[in-house]
Amino acid sequence: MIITGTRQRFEGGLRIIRYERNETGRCVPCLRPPETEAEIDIYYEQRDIDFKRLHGELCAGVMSPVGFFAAYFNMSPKDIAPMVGLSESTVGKHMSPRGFEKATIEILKRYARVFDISVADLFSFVFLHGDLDHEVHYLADRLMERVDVNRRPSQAQ
Amino acid sequence: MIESYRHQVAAHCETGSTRNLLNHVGLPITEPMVFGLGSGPAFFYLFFTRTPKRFPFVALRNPPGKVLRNNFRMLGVEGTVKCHRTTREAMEEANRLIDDGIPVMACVDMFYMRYLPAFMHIHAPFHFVVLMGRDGDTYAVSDPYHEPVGRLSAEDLALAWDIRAPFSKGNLIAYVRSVPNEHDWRRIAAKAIGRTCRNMILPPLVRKGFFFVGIEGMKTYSRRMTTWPRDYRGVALREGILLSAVGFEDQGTGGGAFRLLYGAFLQELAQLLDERAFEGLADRIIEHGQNWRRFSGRLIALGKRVPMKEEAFDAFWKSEAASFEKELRELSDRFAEFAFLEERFLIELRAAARRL
Repeated sequence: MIITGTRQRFEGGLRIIRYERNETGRCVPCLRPPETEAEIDIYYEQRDIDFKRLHGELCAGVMSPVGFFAAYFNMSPKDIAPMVGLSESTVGKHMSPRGFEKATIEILKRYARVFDISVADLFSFVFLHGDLDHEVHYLADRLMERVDVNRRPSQAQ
Repeated sequence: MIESYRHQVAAHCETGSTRNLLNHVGLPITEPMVFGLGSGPAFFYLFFTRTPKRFPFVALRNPPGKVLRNNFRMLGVEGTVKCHRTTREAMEEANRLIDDGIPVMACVDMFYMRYLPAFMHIHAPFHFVVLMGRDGDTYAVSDPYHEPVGRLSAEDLALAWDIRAPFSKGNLIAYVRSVPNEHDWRRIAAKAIGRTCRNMILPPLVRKGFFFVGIEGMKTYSRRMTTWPRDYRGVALREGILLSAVGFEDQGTGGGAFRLLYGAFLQELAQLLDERAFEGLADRIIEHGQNWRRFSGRLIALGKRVPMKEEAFDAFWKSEAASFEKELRELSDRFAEFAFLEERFLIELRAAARRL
């Protein structure tokens, strides 16, 4: 998994339809930013805090990579089990470091689809320091990935 | 790309996509009308399921796919709503229809809709979009939550379709071939409103068993609100409260937990049928929707008081527990009032619909 030095921010620009009364009393659709726009960036901030906490637990051997991604995406074994075609208890086992060792590559591919990552992401965390851009390409049905890292154009000049 | 198809954004994905499909075949129907005729308003306090932050799931509308099916039935639409056994089957049929110039509605998992902002990438396998064209392996997607037309690869579409999670619709596709020119709007409206009232006000004999549905569900929710600080702590409490409020306002409800959308439906109906009684009822539900909006604002302010870091929670709770619980009790009482108001409103609405 590729982690950049700066946390993701909500840059605005999203508009949604909300129904509001106009001056004639009619309830009409209005296209405008969400009422809870301020909370969206807080969500990203919270995700950043969650990531650091979970990554610490992963490195300390408290959970497996499957457990890490499940917690990061706020998913329980009950949510994941039908999506990967396994029982809840098996998914629960894969969330622990010892259980994870027993998972086959075929099963890891299924997890990769659910978390929208590659199997390679389950085994490595790459931290990019500095103002770098990256592009990820999944290969061989998400078994591997190719990552292109480049300096941002403004820095290259 | 199907040139005659007009992509329009909407408050809600299912009502928006259904409207776009019906508009495409020549029925100039609006989103509130689709929502109302589809008997959209509902309340389910699904205590046995959990949202990502472990709060029970609250559904503010009827189950996914119901609005679509109800509209097809009520309006006598010649078309199909079909679940496929495999994604390949669904994709083959969708390709055939798109190539024939027929836009296809699909029920997909929002997680894989890459054109949406990152915070919307959540596993919600009941998101409705219209596939309005394709260029090789790339689909043009008319998503009511996205202003420009989205682009999605065939691989992502397959992933988004092939979900066996709870509430997923199993490779659902829907399309419309034609709609009748004439409709008996009085009969259709009476039927749709009757169904809405039935969904919300359960018969007295079954209320005890279905304490999580309709008005009873709202009452249960208001009672359970006061137990939140006992059941959840730290970030789970904070996020749970914030997500509840966001769910009421900005997750495709049009604001005020769909009540404003329903008010717009009643206003439109009053004009269409020249029925003054519906104008008054519309005003009441719109007022109620606006109160719900204010309630959500208070809920957000309350949720934000909880610290973002787990380790700061104990200190916060020690100093703020009393005022936090007092505010929560007030909000719970307010929500119980909502249940009472909606019950009275729906009884009058049902009586008005019977006179149509």
